[in-house]
Amino acid sequence: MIARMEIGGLLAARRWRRILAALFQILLVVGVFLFITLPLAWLVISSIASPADLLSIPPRWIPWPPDFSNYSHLLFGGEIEGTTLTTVTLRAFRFSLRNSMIVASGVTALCLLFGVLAGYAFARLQMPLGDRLLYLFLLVQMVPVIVLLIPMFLVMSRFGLLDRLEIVILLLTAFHLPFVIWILRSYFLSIPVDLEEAALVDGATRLQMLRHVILPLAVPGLFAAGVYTFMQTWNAFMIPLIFTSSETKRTVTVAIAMFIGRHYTEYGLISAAGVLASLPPALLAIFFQRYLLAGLTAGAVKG
Amino acid sequence: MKTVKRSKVSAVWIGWVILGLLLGACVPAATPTPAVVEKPVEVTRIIEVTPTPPATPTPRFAGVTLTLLDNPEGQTENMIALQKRCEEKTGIRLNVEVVPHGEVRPKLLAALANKLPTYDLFYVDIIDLPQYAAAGYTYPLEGFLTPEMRADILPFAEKGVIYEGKWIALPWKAEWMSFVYNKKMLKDAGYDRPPRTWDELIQMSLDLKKKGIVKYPMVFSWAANYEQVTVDYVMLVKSLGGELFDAQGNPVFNQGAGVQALQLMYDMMHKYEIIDPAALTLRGGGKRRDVMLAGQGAFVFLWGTPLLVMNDPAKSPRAGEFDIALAPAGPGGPYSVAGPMGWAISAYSKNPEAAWEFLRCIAGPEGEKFMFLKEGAPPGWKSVLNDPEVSMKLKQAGGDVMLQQAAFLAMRPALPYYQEWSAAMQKAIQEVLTKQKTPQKALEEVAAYTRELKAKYGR
Amino acid sequence: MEVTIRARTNLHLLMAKSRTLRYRTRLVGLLMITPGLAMIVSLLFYPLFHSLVISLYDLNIRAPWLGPRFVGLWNYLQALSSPDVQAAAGRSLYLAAVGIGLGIPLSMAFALILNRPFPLRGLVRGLLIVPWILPGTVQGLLWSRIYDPHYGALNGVLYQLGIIRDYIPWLLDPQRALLLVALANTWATVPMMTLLYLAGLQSIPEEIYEAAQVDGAGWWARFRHITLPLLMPITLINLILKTIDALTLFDLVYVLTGGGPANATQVIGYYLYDAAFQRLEYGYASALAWLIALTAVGLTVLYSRITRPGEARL
Repeated sequence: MIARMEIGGLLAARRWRRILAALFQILLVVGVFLFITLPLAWLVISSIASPADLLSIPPRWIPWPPDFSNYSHLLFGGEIEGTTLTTVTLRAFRFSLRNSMIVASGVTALCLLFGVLAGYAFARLQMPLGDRLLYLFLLVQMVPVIVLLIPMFLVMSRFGLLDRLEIVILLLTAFHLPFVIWILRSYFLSIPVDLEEAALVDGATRLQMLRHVILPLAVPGLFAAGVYTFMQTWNAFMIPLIFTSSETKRTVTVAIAMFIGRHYTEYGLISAAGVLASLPPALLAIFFQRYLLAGLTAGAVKG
Repeated sequence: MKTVKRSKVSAVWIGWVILGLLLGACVPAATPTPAVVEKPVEVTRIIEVTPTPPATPTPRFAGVTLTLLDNPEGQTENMIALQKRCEEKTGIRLNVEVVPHGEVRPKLLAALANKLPTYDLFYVDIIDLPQYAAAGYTYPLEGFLTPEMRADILPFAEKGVIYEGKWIALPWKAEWMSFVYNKKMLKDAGYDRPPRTWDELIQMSLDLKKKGIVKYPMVFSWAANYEQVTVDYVMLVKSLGGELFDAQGNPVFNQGAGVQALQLMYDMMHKYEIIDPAALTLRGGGKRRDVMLAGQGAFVFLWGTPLLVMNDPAKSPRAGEFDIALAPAGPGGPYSVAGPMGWAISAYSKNPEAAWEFLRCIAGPEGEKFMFLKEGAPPGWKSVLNDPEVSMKLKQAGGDVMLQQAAFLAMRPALPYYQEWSAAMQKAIQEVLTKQKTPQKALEEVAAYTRELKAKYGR
Repeated sequence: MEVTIRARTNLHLLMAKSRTLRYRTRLVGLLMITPGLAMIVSLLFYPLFHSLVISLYDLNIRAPWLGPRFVGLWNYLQALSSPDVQAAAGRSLYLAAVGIGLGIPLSMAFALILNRPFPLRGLVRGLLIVPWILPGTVQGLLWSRIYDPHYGALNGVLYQLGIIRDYIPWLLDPQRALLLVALANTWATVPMMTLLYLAGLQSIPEEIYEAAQVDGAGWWARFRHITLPLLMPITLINLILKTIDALTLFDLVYVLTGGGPANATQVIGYYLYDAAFQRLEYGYASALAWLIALTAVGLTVLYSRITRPGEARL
């Protein structure tokens, strides 16, 4: 209050500064926005460019008229002679979005559930081996999956567990859990301990406290960890490839790889497929982002 | 505050689930004809339930299920029809697994390295065949083959299915590279025919360059770790009348035509400047094709049936300008390169007899004839080529040039250590073309490495 | 922050009060990690054990007549002394260095920018995830279309702006190719790092900033003494994230450069794939994989040491 009164006389100057600051902020945001979207714009342009536009020198930045045939092929199918685009390939792409959604959501849910428990334990409780156990966990995740595929395939095959999305979910969870634990532990560490202390003194159990005190405060961290897991899983390639086989179980990464042919790759189609494949997660993220922001502001006001 | 937040968290979860379900439900539902989606499942089910028509009274292998591994390009509508026909004929129920082309190998190895009977039938590229055969992954076909079949195979297809004198696979879609040229550009430069020799090609290219028609007339894609580099080198060695290995399997590419071929690659790029140095960053036949379609090249080698796309007005900005000719010749002949494939039976298949029966139906003369008539896939059997129906169709399709080329097809060496050899070769060629080494020195190094590999893996 | 430290010591005192409580805490901790641990152990123990064992054998499955031969640590020694492996590992570490050196400041700046209110904030933040979710193959093809010597966007832009007079084959020069791969990879990882930082920023209580402002701390002082140290745990996460990513990167390179020109961009992930699936040297590939994992964990320990002062202040 005192500070405000002191600069009261410079109100006009302050207003100017505020406007300038707002403009500067918008400029910075535009910078970030361009960083993200410029390469993506090229992807979108490639997906709607006609064959001639795709090959024009210098590039035609706005392909006109836009050619949506890549999208219609992907969504409505049909075989195109002289390309990899057999009916089988195109049909598989449509299933794949659903499968990836199931797998990514499942892994995210499991990783968050187990990750919250273990992450909290590592952040706050005394563990048998302490941090060394955490590094051991991490070592597991860091062994490149390529050398584990063959023994894992043997096990799954012996138990008759091939070609099931559930197995893909479990395997990916096991692979990504260590790092999710790390992420969540870090966010838990940044939450002040006194809140818990109060709850403990009040006689709450650990789990009750985790649920009612810690989790609400850790929402941004949970969100970040969730996004990380979802994205990693959405992008997983080798495990879905090796452990599923029927076309109704194929995930989107594998389906897109099918457009890379023996000799020819259809850039327009791959671009369109890339755009379509990133739409569902992007929409999810935008939806949650808005929700999260609203929730946080509400919480901050009340807090 | 806490309760508010908790309900928000649960609402987020509900939102997640709803959105997930919506997306999941929407995407496949957007299919206009859901019946099509179910098709393959339905087909097999019908075959299983309804007894086959009297044409085949009692199929020997009724009730047997086989799994076949293929890439997306393989599973065309015609192939699916052929598979269905063979299912009816043999009584075998076929389960087809389709995997991205680049991923067939890891997928196959996951099963074969564990000695699992996951797949009964799989296709093998000629360059992988020795490796798979040496590892014992393939079921020997010697016991099944009839003398007629042995006599019927075409010479170049034979190399794709035989390793160390034993039949490993049945020939399939023996494709090769065709020499494609832009006839309009040549006409503009005053030529009414494509080049017949490499010398002519260089002359014409220099002329095209001088007249400002195209800056880099000859199009190659020689990016790193890209099999095409080896393919083009093998072609040039053969064209120049050389060999890569002598009769005892010792490397001889470090002398004579082997060195000249690499020198020719270098000269075309750096001395005559008729190949764009950017070729060293291009990978994929698609890129080579694009350069042609953009009018930035006059000559190119392409696999398969490239004109289908290149002369299609819907897909090509220069439709109608392209044609196929016999490859330019050197002292050795007008060579191109073949990449034959074969269908093999897994050594760990539980039903090798049934698999053979099915294999014969698909990749035997009858199946190959069907595939040729339907989609022009080159057959590996003499009897198919001599078939009146086939030869008529071949004439109609203007397959004369393609057929002429079939007499001049170079093969890449059949080595159980082919992957290493080819990778070393690609690296050596790149080192020469980026002016780090002379052709002689680079090839000496590959030869030394090859001898090492031979000592380790040769038998 | 002092409050926090005191609170934590209090908690420890509280726990030390009775032994039974301490014992119970341990038990609870153990119970809390059990589900995750059980999952990892049940699914991954056998494959990990298997790969560890075969890393001690000379096992090339395409030459069965040579048979698996026990060679002890030979594979490890061979991998460590191979110039190809050293060069490939060096390139991966270069990718990590570029991704960290460029990515950490950039993503922190992005997070600070996006943390302040502006119109359409949710939309922009949602878009952040798109580069990261593009499948590696699509990323590779996208960048190959950007760097394309004939129809690339980069050439197009620079040419139309008059910066270059001739189209440039960007990936032809070995050093430049590696840098361009690193930049393409950084583009994909910066958004993820930004998201993690954003979440970190959101959990810093506003009161700390307000207090600092009252004390007359300027923008830089606030960033230097509050934001930066409080974000240290997230920085650690980002360091690890980027390092794992660089050490396992494969498909982007595979599609974009194929490791070329002449192996100039052959990273360790690529080399490993080649050893396992092309050359089928499983023993050697397994040894290499464990070396990669150990390197990654070693770097993680190192990072933890470096970032610890920040964590301690919390």
